[in-house]
Amino acid sequence: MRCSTAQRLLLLHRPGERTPWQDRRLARHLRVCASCAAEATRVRAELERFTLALREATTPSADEALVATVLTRVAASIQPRTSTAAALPRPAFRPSLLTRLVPAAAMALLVLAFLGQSLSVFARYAELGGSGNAVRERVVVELRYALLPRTMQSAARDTVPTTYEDTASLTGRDFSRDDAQRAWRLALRSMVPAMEESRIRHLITQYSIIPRLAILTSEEGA
Amino acid sequence: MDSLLHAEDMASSPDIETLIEQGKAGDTQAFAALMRHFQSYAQVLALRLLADGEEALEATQDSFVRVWEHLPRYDGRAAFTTWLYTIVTNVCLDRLRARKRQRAKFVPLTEDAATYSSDPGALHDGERLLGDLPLLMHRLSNAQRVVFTLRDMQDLSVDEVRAITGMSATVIKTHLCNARRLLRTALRARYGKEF
Repeated sequence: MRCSTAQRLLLLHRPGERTPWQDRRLARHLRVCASCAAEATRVRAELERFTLALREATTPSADEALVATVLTRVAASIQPRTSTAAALPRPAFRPSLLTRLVPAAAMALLVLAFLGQSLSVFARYAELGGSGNAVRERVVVELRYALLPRTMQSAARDTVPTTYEDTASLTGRDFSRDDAQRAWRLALRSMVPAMEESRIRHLITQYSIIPRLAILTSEEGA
Repeated sequence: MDSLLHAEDMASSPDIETLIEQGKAGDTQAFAALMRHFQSYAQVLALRLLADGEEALEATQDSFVRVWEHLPRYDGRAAFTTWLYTIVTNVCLDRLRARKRQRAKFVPLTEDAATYSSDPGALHDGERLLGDLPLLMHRLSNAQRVVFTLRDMQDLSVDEVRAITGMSATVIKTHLCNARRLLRTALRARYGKEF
């Protein structure tokens, strides 16, 4: 988390204003950032002092004449009343038509973007996997490579592909989500060298490719 | 906490519901009793929103006239205080908007601390703080002012603020965050770094 984000979250200092996720991230940041930790104490103290002072300063004395004045005005305007309208008066800030349309438009754009991206990914798969096996083989190889300890990776580069059993015995651990993500990153990088990192991250997290990889590896293992 | 006080008030005043029902039926005496009970709530909120004692009094009167006009529509789904606060907030917002239009015709308030009418004194000097309040609140947009007042000064929950303003929780938190940041900056300029 950046300090600017942390300092923004610090302003939401009262209970229930930050989500548990934000709380966790902020706590993690405050443990390692001394200046933000000091700022946290200052922000809370200053705002609480100000709010308290303001509350005390703005306590009006009761005005006895108010009730009489209102009753006079009410008496002048008494007329038959109906009770057909909604229970709550209009909210103080009603969103305009334009504001209400914005979420719908954003959603439509997102759907279009998602469809576009999906199509391009599928097209890429089709293109790369003219022989689907080639892609699959490459992925499995990269997976094996990724499962190796970092110190052994360069050596393994020369001997890849290693066997599944070799990989398991070398790493001594089970296939994890991180492994899968690392493998996919390498596989995508090798398949499309020019692909941007952000795009790779997007593909990894958005397109359910990790389960597909799990299937591939289980087939391989079997 | 104000919100808890409201709940306690409602719980310890079983005749409030009766007064509301009688007020709906056009009983002005019942309505007067209702006003006496909730006058301070409405007046405090108006004062905090408008930062002007006289205008707050007028706004409170307008609010209760509006309450009388709309009372038949109140069906008890929301707490009476929430309903009342919505009306007071709307009345005050109308006044703030009118004030803004009016001010635009004249010289606007400047952001300069030199425009404060007196020495800062201490933050706990209530009278001076009250005097500074219009200029402090002038830094905020209407939405920020309403959200800050309801949440921090009236001590309402985010859900209650949402019911009153019609804003989403995310928008409320954004306004809250900006309002606190702006006020903190203004306070530091006015009262020193560690006010």
